[in-house]
Amino acid sequence: MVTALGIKREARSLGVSNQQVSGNDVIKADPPNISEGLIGKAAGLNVTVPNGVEGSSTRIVIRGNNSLLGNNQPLIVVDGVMVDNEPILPGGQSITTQNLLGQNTDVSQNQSTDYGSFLNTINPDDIESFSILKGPTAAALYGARGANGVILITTKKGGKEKGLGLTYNFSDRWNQPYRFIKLQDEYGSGMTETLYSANPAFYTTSGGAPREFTENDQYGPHQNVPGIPNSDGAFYNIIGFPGDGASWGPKMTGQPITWWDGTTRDYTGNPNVFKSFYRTGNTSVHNVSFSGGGDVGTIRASYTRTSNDGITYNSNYSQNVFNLGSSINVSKQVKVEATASYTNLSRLNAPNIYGEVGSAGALGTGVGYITTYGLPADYKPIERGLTFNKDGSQNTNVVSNDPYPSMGMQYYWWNTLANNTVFTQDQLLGNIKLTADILPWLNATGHVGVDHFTNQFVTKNKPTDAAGILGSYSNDLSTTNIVNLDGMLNAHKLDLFKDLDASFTLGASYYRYQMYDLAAKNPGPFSYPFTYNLSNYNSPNPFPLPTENRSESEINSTYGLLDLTWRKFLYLEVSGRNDWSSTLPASKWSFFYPAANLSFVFTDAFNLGKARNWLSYGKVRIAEAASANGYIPYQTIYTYSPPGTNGFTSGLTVPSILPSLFIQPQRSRSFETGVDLGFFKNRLNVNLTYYDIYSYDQILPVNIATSSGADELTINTGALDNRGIEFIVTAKVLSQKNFSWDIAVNGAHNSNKVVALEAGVTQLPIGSWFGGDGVNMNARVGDQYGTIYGYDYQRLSGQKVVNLLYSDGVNTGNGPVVGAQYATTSTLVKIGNATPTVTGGISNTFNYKNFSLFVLTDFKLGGQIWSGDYATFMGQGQAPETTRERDGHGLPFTFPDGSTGNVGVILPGVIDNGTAKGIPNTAVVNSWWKYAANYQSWDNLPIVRSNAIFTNSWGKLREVALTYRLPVKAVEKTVIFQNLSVSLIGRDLFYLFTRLPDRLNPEGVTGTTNVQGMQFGELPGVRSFGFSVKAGF
Amino acid sequence: MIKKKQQKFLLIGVIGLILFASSCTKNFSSINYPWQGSPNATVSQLYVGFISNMALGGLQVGYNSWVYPITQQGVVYTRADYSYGSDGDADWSNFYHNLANYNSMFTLIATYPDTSIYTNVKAMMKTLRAYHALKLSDEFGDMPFSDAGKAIYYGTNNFTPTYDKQQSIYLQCLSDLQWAVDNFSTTDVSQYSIGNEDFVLQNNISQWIEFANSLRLRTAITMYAKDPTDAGPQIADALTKPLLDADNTNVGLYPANIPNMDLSARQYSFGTECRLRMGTTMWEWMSSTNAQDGSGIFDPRCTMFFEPNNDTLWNPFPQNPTASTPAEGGDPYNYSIRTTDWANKNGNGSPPTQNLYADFNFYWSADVTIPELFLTTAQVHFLKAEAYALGMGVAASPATAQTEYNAGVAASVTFWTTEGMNSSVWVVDRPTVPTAGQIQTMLSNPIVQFDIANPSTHGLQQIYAQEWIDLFRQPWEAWTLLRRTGGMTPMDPNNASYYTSTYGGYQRYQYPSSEQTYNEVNWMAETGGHDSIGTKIWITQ
Repeated sequence: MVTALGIKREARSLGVSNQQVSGNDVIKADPPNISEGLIGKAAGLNVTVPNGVEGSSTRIVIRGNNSLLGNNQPLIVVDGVMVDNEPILPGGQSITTQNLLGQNTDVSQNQSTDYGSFLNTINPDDIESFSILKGPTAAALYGARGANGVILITTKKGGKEKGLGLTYNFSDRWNQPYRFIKLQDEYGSGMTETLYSANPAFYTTSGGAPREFTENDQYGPHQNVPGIPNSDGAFYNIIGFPGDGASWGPKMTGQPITWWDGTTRDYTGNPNVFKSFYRTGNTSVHNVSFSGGGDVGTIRASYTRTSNDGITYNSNYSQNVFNLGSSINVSKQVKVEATASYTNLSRLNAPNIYGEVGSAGALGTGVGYITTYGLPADYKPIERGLTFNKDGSQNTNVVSNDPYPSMGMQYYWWNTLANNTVFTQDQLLGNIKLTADILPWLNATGHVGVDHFTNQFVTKNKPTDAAGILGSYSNDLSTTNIVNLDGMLNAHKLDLFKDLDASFTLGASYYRYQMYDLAAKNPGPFSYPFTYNLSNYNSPNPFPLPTENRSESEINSTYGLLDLTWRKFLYLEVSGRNDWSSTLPASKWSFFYPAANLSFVFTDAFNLGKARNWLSYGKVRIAEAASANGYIPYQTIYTYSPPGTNGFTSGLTVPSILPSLFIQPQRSRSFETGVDLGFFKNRLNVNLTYYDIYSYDQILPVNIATSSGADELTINTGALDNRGIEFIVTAKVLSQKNFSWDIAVNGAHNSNKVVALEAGVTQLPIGSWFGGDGVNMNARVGDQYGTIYGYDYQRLSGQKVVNLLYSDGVNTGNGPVVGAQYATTSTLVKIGNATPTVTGGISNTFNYKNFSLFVLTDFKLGGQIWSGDYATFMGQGQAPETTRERDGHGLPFTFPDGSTGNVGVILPGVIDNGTAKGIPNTAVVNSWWKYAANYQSWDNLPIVRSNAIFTNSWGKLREVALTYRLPVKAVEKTVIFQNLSVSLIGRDLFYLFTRLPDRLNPEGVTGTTNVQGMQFGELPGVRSFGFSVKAGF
Repeated sequence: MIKKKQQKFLLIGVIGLILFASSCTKNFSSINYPWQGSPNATVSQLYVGFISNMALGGLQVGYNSWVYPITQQGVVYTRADYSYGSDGDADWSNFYHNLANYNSMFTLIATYPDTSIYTNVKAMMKTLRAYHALKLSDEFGDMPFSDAGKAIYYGTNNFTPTYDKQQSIYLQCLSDLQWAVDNFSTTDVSQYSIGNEDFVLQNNISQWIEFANSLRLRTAITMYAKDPTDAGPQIADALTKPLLDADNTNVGLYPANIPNMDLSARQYSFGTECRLRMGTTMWEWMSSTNAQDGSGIFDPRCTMFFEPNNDTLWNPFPQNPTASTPAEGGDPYNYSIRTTDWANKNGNGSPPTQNLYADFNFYWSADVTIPELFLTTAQVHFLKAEAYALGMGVAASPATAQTEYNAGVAASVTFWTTEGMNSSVWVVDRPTVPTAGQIQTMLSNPIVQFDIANPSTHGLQQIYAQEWIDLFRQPWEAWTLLRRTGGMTPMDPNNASYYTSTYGGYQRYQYPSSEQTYNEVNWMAETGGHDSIGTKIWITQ
């Protein structure tokens, strides 16, 4: 088993939980990347794949979050080279840095375009095995950066093969958007008109013909609620802003009306307003590898080409990976391992998933946002065909069309088809490791690892005019260079004393990270038509200054490791590490932390008698470890900031975030204990682990009162506690000559508590949707990390309080009731928690002769989300639930114009009349109030948010692979093949169960940051079907 | 041999790395040295940083939404979407960041070997801090002041400043202003000069003295009704020393003096959900009749501050509308429409809505030269007129009050029409500066003509009204005038209960929520848990 620092050890000697997953297990069902391949296969490993867009980033968290604001993803170590899995951002930005500088508070405005993360580009076919070191216990020897656990990836180094040693793998997969949110298609667009009359009239064209509803109508003559004086303002001051998808309009019965483009069409519903925005995507992978070996060593070379067409239009990527792995025996005493991997990724138009505005700041690029917020039930997808004039320029009739001016729909197809951003990544990952037996009892290891990559974003926005002048161009190039050097001396002696083996390792490492980014934008107009470069600029305005970004840090370490083995059944490992981190103040550069673990194989220590017949193997383990960490660079020296306002840039002001002049390293300590048992000759294996990770002295910018002269101050504060259990059960249920059945089940429960914050600091904002009166995720002492805050129902003796609107105000009791709305709590309260109760996976492998069937299901139980989509569709009258009363199943109701209909509703609850219980609400109001007035997702005023909180439990059929291996005899007959297999593959096929209504996407959570309890502008669920062929020559 | 060499090489390498890693921190300081921002700031840089927080910026949205209808300098035809007090929140943040800048600068100066050459700079800073503090205090009342802005010193107590009473803040500011007036030196050539970076008064120390002294006069008069004992002597002394009227100076941030000054927020405040219209209150003070063709207009500022509706009619929106008031529409501040189709105030809706009422002049949003004002010569005249009309700190003198009043009106009319005339964007109905005769005609209009027979009643109302008109682009200051005079600024008497029920309850801003959350103990001590917008601040009568 590969353990920390790449040291191979017997599994029985480990005092910590270390789960091994083979490369073959991960690629069984052709995952788009290795993170998705790991889903459901390791206990306590939670992988978030937001929105299922291939090429997007993934989030991996092992055993819960250890950092309140920082990076909670494990360290990835590929053949000794340390990398991380943070989402790739333009401008050389890092999510963690942004979080720690308080720049990511409103999720809706940040990082909506997802360019992927490191684990996307590593080629699954090149992986030999994964070792998952969980928590700081196992990661103590990776120091600071391993505090969230470590995923050790060992690539294939080749070996002696039969035949030529060549293999060729091919897979092809179709990715089909299939799970769309269910919406009503009976009532068309409209907002308050439905309050005025049972038969609201259409607005008319200048010619008097009925016409489509526009956003201006929403804010036009009927923007006020009938019965309330005009001076009291518009409907959105009562219920919040709806999107342009508001569908409170007339019933669609096929009546002819004039559309925004002047064409008369039948007024009919659209059963799936999303569908025209998506297509079936495709991913194909070719992989050729050569492997060979001999006395001198082994070598493996491979080339992999991946091509993908996205599920959104004009979006694709292609990737080439060259990989070389070798192991050379220079002499009997000296061995060299060298690996090199070069990756070239080119990605066109990564989709902007949930953002209101794109990375270029333009409206109308977020597909999820537009489809959720901007399309009414009468939507007809006609814009795409009208986007371009015949000469290729932008059709300004579309740009200035009325129905969707604020949501950007009128820009969507132009932006999607004519504005192109290509993200290119070139990465070289290299590693050389030298081991030498210097003396029979002493060996030395030296290791050099380099990760060098460039990320480039080139945007070419096509000129909107026929002359080709009104375009723009930008170029953003970052270069990152990570070097780590390690050296170890290991002295070992069997039988140092009687029955006692000992080994002592002394090591040191050097880690340096450097990033530099330079970006410039030519906003146009151009001098020369259709020419994209930075100097092609023709405007009296000064050319915008380019921007720079830098980041540099260094960590040096020494460590010692003592292993003692007594009689081959009791193992003790003690280690200590000292780090020097450049990111801390000079007096705190150096910090030390120790660890120890003990493993006891009791089945070997004691004579178990008859129990031995069923208990084949038993081990108990216990570990305690500390870990410590630095911070982000450049935060220990006070710097003044230039004012952002033009005209004053020669000035300097005190920074609003005061730097961390007095910080010390942030620390964590963890305890872990567990038992590994094998039964019936190890046909049934059980691993159980309990852990407790306490992360404290976290370095955080905490809010302080602005009257102190600053808004935030960076200090050591805050603690998180993670406690949980994990189990892994593997069983060989049947093992016969022609048939076998293997089951592997894993599961984990984690409790992730905020234990402490600085005295006087009541909460730490993690992120919000729309801020203020919207939905917030905050960390408060005593809460689970991931608690969702918002307004809840105000209650009297357990009953919801209803506010009645009269013409002269709320609850005045004067005259007729105009409307009704639920009263909210006076402050934001806890309304949900995103932390799941149990996560896990179940895999079944059936082998029958040469057929093999692999079925993986995974599940998540508990954990809540606030569904912005649900809130939006309820508020906008698009959810199917909202038609009940409009279809005549409500109470009799008389409209202001005297017309009547069964659209009335009584909001269940009580009126607060000053008594303890209130009085039951009996006021009948238009059912519009029930939905439109209680669900809008915008934040301009307090409305109840808890009504869109759902427990997001689900189980999913994640992977199915049916493989046929050509029988050995048949293969031998072919002469050229050494082996040949064909697989049929299904991925993400369907949910076995989900608790979300209206076919909401259970995995449509917003982004891969620490804010995992919000969902808005989700994409449809995507399933994949494909096949693969693997051939050896 | 080779093998042994290799082994030795590796051994030496590994040992070397161990020694290196355990000792090598020598580059850490340079590696972690910030590449952005500046670890040091000069006095001039901090001065400009301070000024940058005094620019109006986003505050103007709050003025356009709430303060204009509260002061009745304008009216909104329907309630604003922007929440009340947003400008207060922004100003709160600006002021306290400025206190940190102020403290940083004074700490820096204290480290210099010869601090005496910074007396003028200190006096400038004390004057500016007093201006900014009083502006904020008039929005909130009591607030953290003497303990505030000290987080830069990192002591735990500095993160939660206590609240000062407004009276105490006024007295501290008066004391600072007096110090400034007494210590500015126009003759000491050794004094450190901010030079061109003095965006306020271009290092003209004489004018700085006038500004500090005028601000002292205003401060003392503002608090006079509540604390005549402290205010009276300050007024008396201020009147003996140079004031802004000495050389007709108007203090503020002039785009002409600040290259590339960003005025986009002004345009934004008109361009985004701005529902401002000319109200009947202002109309009553500018036109002698209700003739919609504008034939009754006697105040030259009228056609600069406002413009007629889409049908070129001067139809002010009722300050206190009723249910039968026809609804207003139009899009008169739409920058792209008005700059290409000037006469179109209805907008391009489908169909367009109707702009029925007279608007604020569109050019306010387009202009890039008119200053953001701190204190004007006209206001100084009106303050003097008030002092002499009421006998504040000096003996009452109706004649002097009249002289100052007339001078105030003339200064105001001349200033505003000159600004309009010089604004590069003003094309249609570009103002012209009235002649002395035209001003005299205006001064003899029965509405304007000073009632010297009743200087402390009707005459006083006229002084306040003209000051209120002059403060057209400083609505926050007009609000202070309204409150400290007990509502003696112009108010439309028709359907007055509408104003009382709609705006009468707005006396101050609530403290920003960060105070309750992060300065809870002191916030609680100040508010008792009830931070009400209806609580009258100390200066309010």
